[in-house]
Amino acid sequence: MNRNQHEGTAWDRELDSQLEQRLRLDAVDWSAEPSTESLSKLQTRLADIQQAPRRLPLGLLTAAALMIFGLSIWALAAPLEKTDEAALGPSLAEGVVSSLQRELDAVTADANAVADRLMKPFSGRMFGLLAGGD
Amino acid sequence: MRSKLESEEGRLVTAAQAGSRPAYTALVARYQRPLFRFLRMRSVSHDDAEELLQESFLRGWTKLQSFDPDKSFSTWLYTIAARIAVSWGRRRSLPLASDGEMESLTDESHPASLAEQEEEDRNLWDLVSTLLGESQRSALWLAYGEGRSAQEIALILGKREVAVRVMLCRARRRLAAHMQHLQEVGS
Repeated sequence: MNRNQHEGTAWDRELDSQLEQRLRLDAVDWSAEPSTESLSKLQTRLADIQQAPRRLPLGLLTAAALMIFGLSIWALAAPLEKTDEAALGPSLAEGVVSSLQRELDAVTADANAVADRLMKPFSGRMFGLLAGGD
Repeated sequence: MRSKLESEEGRLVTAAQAGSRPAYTALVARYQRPLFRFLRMRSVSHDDAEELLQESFLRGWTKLQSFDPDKSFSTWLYTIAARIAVSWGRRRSLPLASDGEMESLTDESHPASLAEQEEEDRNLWDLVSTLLGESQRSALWLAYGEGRSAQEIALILGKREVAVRVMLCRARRRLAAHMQHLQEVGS
């Protein structure tokens, strides 16, 4: 360490010490005070908030609101479903299925009738062959 | 004396937590001026500091149930105030300049006007508020204005203790360098 550096370090220490001392002293005199109006406004706002009931946590309020909303929807929707069933009877799907079943039954009956007519001429000869053996 | 004050404060805090309005009002009366000075050192204007002071005490009342009575009430309150100041500065995009930004402003933009402002009888904290950035100003005030330890400052500012010590050292060096420069210009 040369002489200049050594002197610089000693000077820094001295200045640093003086600086700390001056910072402490000047802090006492530093004029930064809130205004009287501001302090009275603070008291008013505090009184307002202290008189009001303590606020519930936001999460709890949200959950309660969602629950009430869900229950309301359920309460409105449940009677409507029953009314729909009573007033409208079988649903559309049930109607379509029964109509298709009727069509299928009719087609099956027609097919059986055609088959009977086609097989009738052969049925006598078949019995004859089986009985006569010729 | 200090322990007596602390025990009295402890009683006030316990009463306030139980819902006593007069107890909290007494705590407000005790801390309104020191907390204002801390906020004034953080923010840029007198009006802003007054607004932040009100917000801090109102938030303190609503959050009082979460305070651990075994810890320091003032550190807890100052932490709330510091956080409000940070979020408020972000929201309003106010010139709560970072340390680097403040240095560049004071060094290059208006060196002449700063030199004019710097008088022998001028309070050093006025210089601090124009020369240093937000974090350094806050740490310096808590250390020398209020005599708080580096550990307490770290808790309030949400930084590590080592970082606070470094910040304080840099702030003093910057102040010292500026004062030396002014002395050289003056002579």
